[in-house]
Parts: sequence; structure tokens; C-alpha cells
Amino acid sequence: MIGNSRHKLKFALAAILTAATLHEAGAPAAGVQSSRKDWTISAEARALIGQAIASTGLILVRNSNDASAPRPRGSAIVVRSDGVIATNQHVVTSDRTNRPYDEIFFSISRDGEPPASGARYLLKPLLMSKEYDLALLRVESDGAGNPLPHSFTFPAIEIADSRKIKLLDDLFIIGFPEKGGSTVTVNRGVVEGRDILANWIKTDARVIHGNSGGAAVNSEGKLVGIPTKVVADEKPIDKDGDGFPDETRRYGAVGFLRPANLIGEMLARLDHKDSERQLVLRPPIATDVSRLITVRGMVKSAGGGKPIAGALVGLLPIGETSVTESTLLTWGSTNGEGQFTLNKAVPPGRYTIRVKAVGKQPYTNDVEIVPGSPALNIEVNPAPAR
Amino acid sequence: MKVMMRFAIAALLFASVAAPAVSADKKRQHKDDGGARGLFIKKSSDAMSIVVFKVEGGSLVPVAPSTEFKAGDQIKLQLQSNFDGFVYVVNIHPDGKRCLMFPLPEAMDNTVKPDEKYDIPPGTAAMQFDQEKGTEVLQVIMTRSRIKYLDEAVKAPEGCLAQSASSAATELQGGIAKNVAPVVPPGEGNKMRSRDIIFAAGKDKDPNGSVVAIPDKGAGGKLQPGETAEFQIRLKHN
Repeated sequence: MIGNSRHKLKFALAAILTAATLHEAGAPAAGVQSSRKDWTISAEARALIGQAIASTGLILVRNSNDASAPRPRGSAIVVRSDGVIATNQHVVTSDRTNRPYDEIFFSISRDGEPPASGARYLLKPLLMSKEYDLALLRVESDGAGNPLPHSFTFPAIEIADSRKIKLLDDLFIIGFPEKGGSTVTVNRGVVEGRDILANWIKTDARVIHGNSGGAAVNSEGKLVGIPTKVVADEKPIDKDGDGFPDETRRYGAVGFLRPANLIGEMLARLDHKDSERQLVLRPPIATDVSRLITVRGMVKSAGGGKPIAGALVGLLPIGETSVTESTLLTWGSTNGEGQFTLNKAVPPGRYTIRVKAVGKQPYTNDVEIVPGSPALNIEVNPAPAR
Repeated sequence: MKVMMRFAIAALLFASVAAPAVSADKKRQHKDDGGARGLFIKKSSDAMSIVVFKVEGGSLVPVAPSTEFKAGDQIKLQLQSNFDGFVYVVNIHPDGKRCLMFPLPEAMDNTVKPDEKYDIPPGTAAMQFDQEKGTEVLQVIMTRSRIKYLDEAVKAPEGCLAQSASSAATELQGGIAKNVAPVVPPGEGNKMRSRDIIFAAGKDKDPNGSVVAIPDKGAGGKLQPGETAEFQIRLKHN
């Protein structure tokens, strides 16, 4: 998720370029200390970034039982001219229901104009990656539900090979941060680092609420990443010594982008019909609160049947092989008698359960959770001796 | 002055220390009861001695296996290893919540060296039983290499594990997961293994306490990097 609205971001080294400043040679604002040698931007780069801005839009969402107007939720980027849009999964998914919103709209940006005054389109989710918090959606109709002409094309951004980025490469963040009002906002930073294992690009560019799902482009205007989250270094300050923090001091923050290559991979999977069939959205999970089930059970040693204390048990969507913050639905650990109760109730359905305990082989299996289910009885094997 | 730590504990039963933790069957356990001390002294296997002290009148008194604790009672562990490595102590609450008792933010060094005794918690601190009754477990993990998710738990509120989806996912990762952050030192992958442990119970008020040891099955009883040996001290609090 992006940012923390409680705090103001102050980046001494990240000059902020609004859409307007892209039309001028940018110099650091007065008083801003910068180690950059050259803040200027070539006319060519400005034009290319301008094209990327034209591919960026605002996501608005609404549920069918909501009478109010669709509300802004984040940013998105056109990645294919036939109307395929990329954004973060959390932008188009309700925090409350963990399901995509009933109505997801995309408004193309026009430099300096609120997106609402531009064209608005209704989107349909195509492919979600919980692991990477990414989503692909397709334009289904205009905002009123009318089909678009077949010849209609969208201004798609070009996807860069994000594996080739280098430390301190220039980055431009394009999106619709909440605090930026209703027009597109662009700011500038550099690549601060990469986490190849976890698939992150780190940046000092300002990434705040509303930037999620937008574009991070290089100086050629090509997509190198999707702004996804920011991690702030902050500390509560107890000014009066009463033991309770009075304010929080923020020392800085690091923005995290999902590399654009992941979007490329998802598009390739979309193109592969077989894969598409496998990767279509899972059926929405029922969210009738009255039907939610608290999962309980026991973990024992295989064979001997001794209860295992301290085992961690987690529930994942059925078939999910990756355990991440976004795929882990509920979890809990066993007590001295090997018993566990998972911390969040879940709707009835099939899930993948995973168990880890010190000295035991990881256990993974599919389980069906239905009302009145007996407590789960899980037997884990000892880790193989060397 | 004792520093009290929040610690929901029940009685310390040394006789039951080995019961849930020892992988060896009972037959071998009986046979090896005498062997654990020998392995500890000869250092032919990695082993550890454990004494549990109760704080009584400002003094530390070794407690009997059958001691039952009540709210307010304070205890300390004294560990002595016969190998160079690391030790982690996790308290498993009656509700399954797990909190790291060692290392601590104020005592980050959890290395152990042969023939040195380590008080847990270190210094003048003690673990104190709270009002929560039931069986609690002290899980002691011996290893020659650091365990990342436990090291990270030191920084967590109250040192508790899997408090967030992020930390729980980190701990659950491995095996079939892809693109996972290793939970064991880099390069070890999923090779984290556990070794059987044999046990020699301490007697009532035995200042030498109990001993756990990795059986020497001819292949050597030494922990390799990425391997763990775990034993549990089960505590009942009425």
C-alpha cells in the first residue's frame, strides 16, 4: 500500500516536477539542497515523458450497493493499445471484502485537466497477482456502458526492460496522489536500489497515497515500475515524558516499485490462451459474515502422534504456492497441546493449508472448510536426517 | 533489583522437558539417559545442560521437576553448551502466541561458547509468571547459524512472532514457495534440519540440572550450519 497520510514527506534530494514543470528546464527550488549535477531535462525526454503522462489515468471505484459517485482509488497505466490497463491489485480490490470492486472506472489523464472531465471507461479485471500486488484489466465499455468502436485505440506506454536499470538512474513518478488534487502529478527521483529476490525497485522519488498503480518511467518515457508501497522510517516522540507518544517524527522513506517486467510477464500470460484459462480470477469468495468460519485444529507428529507446540499454521487461497503478506489469509500457532485457532475467520471453501515447525518438514495440503467441520488434524513429518 | 519481564508461565516440569521435544523413541531415550551427560562432557556431540532456578528470597534455587508455579513466581534458566553456536528461547503461550525470550533488545548477543554458563534472561532480569494459567512451553533452539525470522522477532513488539501477515508469511515461506526470502542464513535454502535429541533428566534441586544431547550415531553428533536442535520445557501454572 502506498504511504501514510499522517506524515508529510520531505525529500531534500528529490525535486518535485509537476506536469507543468516538465515544460521548463527544472532547477531545484530555492533553498533545496541537492547533490545533483544537472537537473535539466532535454526537450526530447520531456516529450517522451509527456507521452507517458498521456497513458496514465485515475482509477475510480464503486460497489453496486453504493449510491454515491465513484471515488478515486489510485492510478493506472495503459499497457496495450487495445485497452489493457495495469495497476496494483490493492487499488481495485476492496479492503473490506477482499474482492474487486463491482465497478472500476479508468479516466485518462489530460495534462492539467481533471481526469473526470476526460473520457471515462469501465474496466473488467483480467488477471490478478496477489503475490506481486499487480492487476491487469481491460476496457469493457465507456463509462456509461456503451461498447467502444473496434477501431478505438488507447495511448499505450512502452514497457522498458526493468532488469537493465542501474542504481541512480533517473525515474519519474506519474500518478494521481491524493494530495496532488485531481490533476496528474509528476515527480522525479532516482533508482536507489533493487531487491531482485523480492522483485522490488527502490526509489527516493515521492510515492504517496494515490500513486499506487501508476507509472515510474525512465528518461525515455518507458515504464520501468509500478509504484506500490512506501516504507517510512519514523519514530514516536514522547515530548512530555508521560510514556505516551505525542507525535511521530519521520526521518525519511523509501518508495517501492514493482518492476515493469512483471507486467510484461502478465501480458504474455494473457496472450497464452491456455494460461489465460488457468489464470482467470478465482471465483469471488463469499463474504457473508454470518457464514465465516474460525478454523481450529491440532498439529501432531506423524506416526507418534505427539502434539507439536509452536508450529505456525497458515491458510492460503486454494492452489496458492507463494506465501506472502497478500496471499496469507489467516494464521495462528499451536499451543503446548498442539492446538491452534487461526486469527481470522474465513468463508466456507477450499483452501491450501501450510504448516511450519522447527525441526519438521513443511506441510502443505488442500483442505475444505465447511460449516460444522471438525477440527483439522494435521500430521507433520520430522525433517530428514542428514 | 530484579527486572520483571512479562511472562505467562506455568509450572516447570523438567521431567517433561524432553517428552514432547525428543524425537527419539522411549526405548532409546531410556538407553541414552546416561549417555547425554557423557556426550556433554566428552563433547563428542553437541549438547546443552539446563538448570531452572526459582527466585526465592533474593536467591536462585534450582527447582524440582514437579514444582508448580503461581502468579508472581520468578524463574531464570541457566544454559551451558559444549559447542560454539547460537541459542534462541521462545515462550509458547497457552493460546499459542509465541514470544522470543532470548535474545532480547537489551541482550542481543545469543552466541554460546563451550563451558560458559548463560543466564536467561541475562543479568538481574527474571521471568515472572502472570495471571494466565495453563501449560506454557519454553522452546529452546540450538543452532550453529543464525535464524533470520527469529532475529527479526527481536525487533517486534514484545518480541512476539507472526504478529503481522508479513512476519507470518516470512516464517511460512520455503518449500514450495518461489521468490521467497530465506528463513535460514543465505545459501542454506531449505536445508534447515533438526537433529534428534536425547535427554538426561536432572534430579530434585540438582545444581547440574538436566542435559540434552544430539546422539552420536556414528555420523557424529555435531550440528551443521542450517541445522537446528530443539527441545521444549513444558510449564504448568495452576
